[in-house]
Amino acid sequence: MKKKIFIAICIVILIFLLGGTYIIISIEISTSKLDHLIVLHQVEMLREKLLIHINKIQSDLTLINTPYASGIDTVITNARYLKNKSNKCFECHHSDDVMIRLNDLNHAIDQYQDSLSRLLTMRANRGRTDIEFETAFRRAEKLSKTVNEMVHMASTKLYAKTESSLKDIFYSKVILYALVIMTPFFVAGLGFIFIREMTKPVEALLKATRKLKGGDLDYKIEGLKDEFGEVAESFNEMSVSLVEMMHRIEETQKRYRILFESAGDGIFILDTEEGKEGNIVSANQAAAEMHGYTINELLKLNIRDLDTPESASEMLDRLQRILEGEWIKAEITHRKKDGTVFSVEISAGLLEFENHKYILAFDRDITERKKAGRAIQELENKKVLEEELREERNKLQQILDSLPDGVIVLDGNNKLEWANARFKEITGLDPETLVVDGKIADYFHERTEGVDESDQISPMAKVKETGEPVQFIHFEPGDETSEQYFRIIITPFFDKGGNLWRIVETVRPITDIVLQRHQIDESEDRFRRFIENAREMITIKDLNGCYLVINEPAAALFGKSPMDYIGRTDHEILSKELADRLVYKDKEALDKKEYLEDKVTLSINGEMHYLDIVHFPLFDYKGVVTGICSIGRDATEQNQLQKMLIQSEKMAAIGQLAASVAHEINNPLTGVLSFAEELKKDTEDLDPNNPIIKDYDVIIREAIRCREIVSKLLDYARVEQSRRRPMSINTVIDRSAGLVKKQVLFHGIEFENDLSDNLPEVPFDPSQMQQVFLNLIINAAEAINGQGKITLSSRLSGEGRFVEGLVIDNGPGISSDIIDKIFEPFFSTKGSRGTGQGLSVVKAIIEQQGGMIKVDSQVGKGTTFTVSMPVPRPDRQEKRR
Amino acid sequence: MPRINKILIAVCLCMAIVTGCSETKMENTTKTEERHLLIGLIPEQNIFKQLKRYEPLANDLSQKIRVNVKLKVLTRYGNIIDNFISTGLDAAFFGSFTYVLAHRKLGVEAITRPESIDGISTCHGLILVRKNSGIETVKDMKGKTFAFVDRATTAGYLLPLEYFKEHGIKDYKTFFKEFYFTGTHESAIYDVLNETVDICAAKNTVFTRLAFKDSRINNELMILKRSPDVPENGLAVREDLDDSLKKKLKEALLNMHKDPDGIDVLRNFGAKRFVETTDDDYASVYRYTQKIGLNLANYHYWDE
Repeated sequence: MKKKIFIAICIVILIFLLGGTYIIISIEISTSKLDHLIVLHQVEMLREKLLIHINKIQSDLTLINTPYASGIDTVITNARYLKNKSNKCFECHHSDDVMIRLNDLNHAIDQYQDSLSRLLTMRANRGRTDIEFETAFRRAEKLSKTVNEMVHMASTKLYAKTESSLKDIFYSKVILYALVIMTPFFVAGLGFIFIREMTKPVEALLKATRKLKGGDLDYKIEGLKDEFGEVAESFNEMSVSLVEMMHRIEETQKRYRILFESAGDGIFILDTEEGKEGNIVSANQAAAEMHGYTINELLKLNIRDLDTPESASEMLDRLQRILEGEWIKAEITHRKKDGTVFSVEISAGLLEFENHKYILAFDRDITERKKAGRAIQELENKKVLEEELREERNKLQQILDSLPDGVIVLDGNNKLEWANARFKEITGLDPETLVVDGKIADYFHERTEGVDESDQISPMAKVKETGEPVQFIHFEPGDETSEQYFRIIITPFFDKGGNLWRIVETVRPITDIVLQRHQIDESEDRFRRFIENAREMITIKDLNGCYLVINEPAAALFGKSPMDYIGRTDHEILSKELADRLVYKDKEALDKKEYLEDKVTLSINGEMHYLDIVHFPLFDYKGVVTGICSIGRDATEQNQLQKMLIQSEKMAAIGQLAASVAHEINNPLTGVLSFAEELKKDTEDLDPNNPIIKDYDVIIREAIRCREIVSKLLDYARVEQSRRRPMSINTVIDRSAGLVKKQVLFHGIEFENDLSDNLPEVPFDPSQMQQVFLNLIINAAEAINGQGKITLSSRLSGEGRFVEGLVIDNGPGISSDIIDKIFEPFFSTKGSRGTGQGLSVVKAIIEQQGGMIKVDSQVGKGTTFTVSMPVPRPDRQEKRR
Repeated sequence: MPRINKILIAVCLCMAIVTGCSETKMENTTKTEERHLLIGLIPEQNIFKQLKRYEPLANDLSQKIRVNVKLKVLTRYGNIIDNFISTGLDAAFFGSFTYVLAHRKLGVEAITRPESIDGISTCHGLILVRKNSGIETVKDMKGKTFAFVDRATTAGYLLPLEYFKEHGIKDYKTFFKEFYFTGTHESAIYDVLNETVDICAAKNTVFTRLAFKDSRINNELMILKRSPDVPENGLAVREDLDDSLKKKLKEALLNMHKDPDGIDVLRNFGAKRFVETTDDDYASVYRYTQKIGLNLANYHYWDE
């Protein structure tokens, strides 16, 4: 039906739409044709206007310079009008043919304007202006002709178009009239058919509804089609469904009754009416059995009669909650008919039935369930505890693993209980491999030098014995790179009963620390040796001025030992003057934090000492000053050396002077000698015993002696390069003795010559060697103080390897305490007379010549100086030659 | 029947309202037209082309200074001096010589002039012949025909006058077989090109503009003489023009090259911008007139 209605409406709309469209189109066509006609008319009018304007311009030109002419402005305006209108034509769409004509028209207008401009602006003679005028006139005519042609063309087209348009409009009109008359009849016919189709099925449906209302569920509608047919079918199905529904409700009712009767839980329906609250309205068999009543007995009771007193007291509260719409659940206690109390779980809510409120309550005996629940709860608690315990163990393991030390935990029987990951990392030992017979081996122990390992008490045993923690260092031998040290701490733990419960063994790697310690020890040892063996005086004091370190030379300066100084200050040990000086300089160096030099002169035991001291602060690794170090040097010798150098320079100068004097004396001496000899010749005639002759002899002898002295002096003073040549040592000894024998000092001295013959020659510088023996002889003479005996001796010794020259005196001798110092420079026993240089120079010369000198002396008996020169070995001599 | 009456009344009312509206509109238009500025144009070229060239400029100015700017093209250079008085021109684009005359006679005040696309704001006069005319010197000119533009133009009259004087032509009227005034520079150039006349005097800017469109001009014509530079046709206003209007007009022209519409107008006009101009810029023209012995005060500019 819907489809039919839809199709009918569509047809009507389509007819109207087609009609309307046709009307609109035909009107549109007619009007556009009329528009077209109007446009064509306008074009014609436009072209007419163009003609009029051309004519106007032409007449103005003809009348120019007469009173009838319009102004030039008018001519210009008209000429521009032509151009404007012609341009307007180009705004519309035209055929190519028309466009060509329009272009021609435009061009003709341009030319005409050009002529006009020339004509209007030009000032020339009549001939020229006439030509311009004619040109303009000719162009105007050409323009008029073009326009006229276009007007004609437009008119022809206009006529034809008007004819066809009028015809079209007539046809449209006829169709329109036909449509207007036919449409109402068509619509009325459609309406009639539609109403008839609608009313018939509605009546059939109305009848069926009335039957159903009267209870006739078996009535069926027949003979309807379309949507009405569908409605009728639904109607028929509805009556069948109603019958089926009634059967189903009856069945359900039965099922619920059975369910109620045979339910395992007790079910009660209770009254809520005021005054009857809790009265049992209905109860099932299970409820009766649960409480030990029959159903009929129950129906006479109130639910409070089944509650224990404490459950009954809360009953009203529960009732109130149920009435407020809550479905409650609770565990309460009920009492059986025989008085036995038992737990029930009740589940109750409001039940509205035919505007009456009831309570529906389900009761379940939960005595058994409660028992089971308690057991389960206990089991769960135990599980939780175990889980916590495991968690704790895990945490403990994590803590142990994160420790930097290796840790193993043993129980009282040495069984391995714990070991952290670090233990294996540090020691490289798997704790499992230490287990022997189920017990952990006592691996770590302290090594004591000289004690066999097996003889030592094991630390573990010690811990068990004493109950005290034990701490020791364990050495794991290896080569330099793999040897290791561990600090082991074994700690016992006891339970409440005082029994050994656990032993914790921690292993800390301390190899680096131990090695560092060794390095420090070595370093300290080096430092100590360095200080102890230094010739310089070295001290270190703390910031309070107390001695921390002092070496032997420093302490010995004042005849003390280092221990006398340690821990004491300068003021406590030294003279105030010196202490003040040292403290002042120390402070200055500390304040300036820099190296400071000082020179100190001291009198120690009557001897002057010159000290060069440097003070400098010491810093710790942070750059903080921790103490002051002083290094001192005894510069006394150096000072004396300087003085002697000066003296020696002086002596050298005197020597040179003596040499030059000797040289100068030599000449007059020669004169004296020769004249004396001449004078003596003159005395040949005289008596030989004449005293004059003797006098001359004395002159000659003494002059000769003078000459010899001078000659020897010159020999000594002659500056020679050290020239070693093989020579007899006896020659040198003789010469030296010869030089001094006649001196006043030697007058009281007896010389004894004990020189050996046949000594081999040994190489030396005769001049220097002469100086050696001169010195030794003079020293001997001085030692015996001019009264005594000097023996000069020579001999072969050392199985012929050495030639020795000896100078022996019988003087007082040299005491043993100074005999070691006599060859030292500046040592003198002569007080201010001596320079203390002689013997040291002697020793230096001999050693330079390859020989040795030694001294033997006995107090009160005399002294012997022995000069030993090595005899060259024959093979060497051969080679040399 | 009464319903039809009602409809008719409604229709009539509507029509009355619509008509009323359109009338009001017309009144407004009339009012704006009352205030206007009339600018005169000299016939530099074909007067219709001249109008066409200046119209977009006038429209742009109307919008910018909110005064209806109207143009009046004159058929003769000299007219512009007369028309200031007779037709009440407010301003005019003067040729350099007409300005100098008008300044002396009427006291007009120069304000701006255009600067060409190449940045030049001056022009000069040329003396032209056909290349095949055989005319190369003044001697060759004797007995030929000569076309001036107008007695009130620099390029179209003063230049040839100076040229004649320089070459010892005492009276050009007898020297040439015939002479006349073409009225526009364009006509003068085309008359030589079309062999209507042998020699002509014209302005370089018009020559260049025409040569751009018509290649014959460069190919067939030859320049014999060129005058010194004088300012290009500039706008001068009447002495008593309202100061505020004068200022607005000047600013609108000087700033025209700064807005897109103005740039379009200037491009069509053939200029880059307008530059400020004062009487001092015409010093060269004053000198030129002195040189050829013209007395500006009593100069008779009507063509003979």
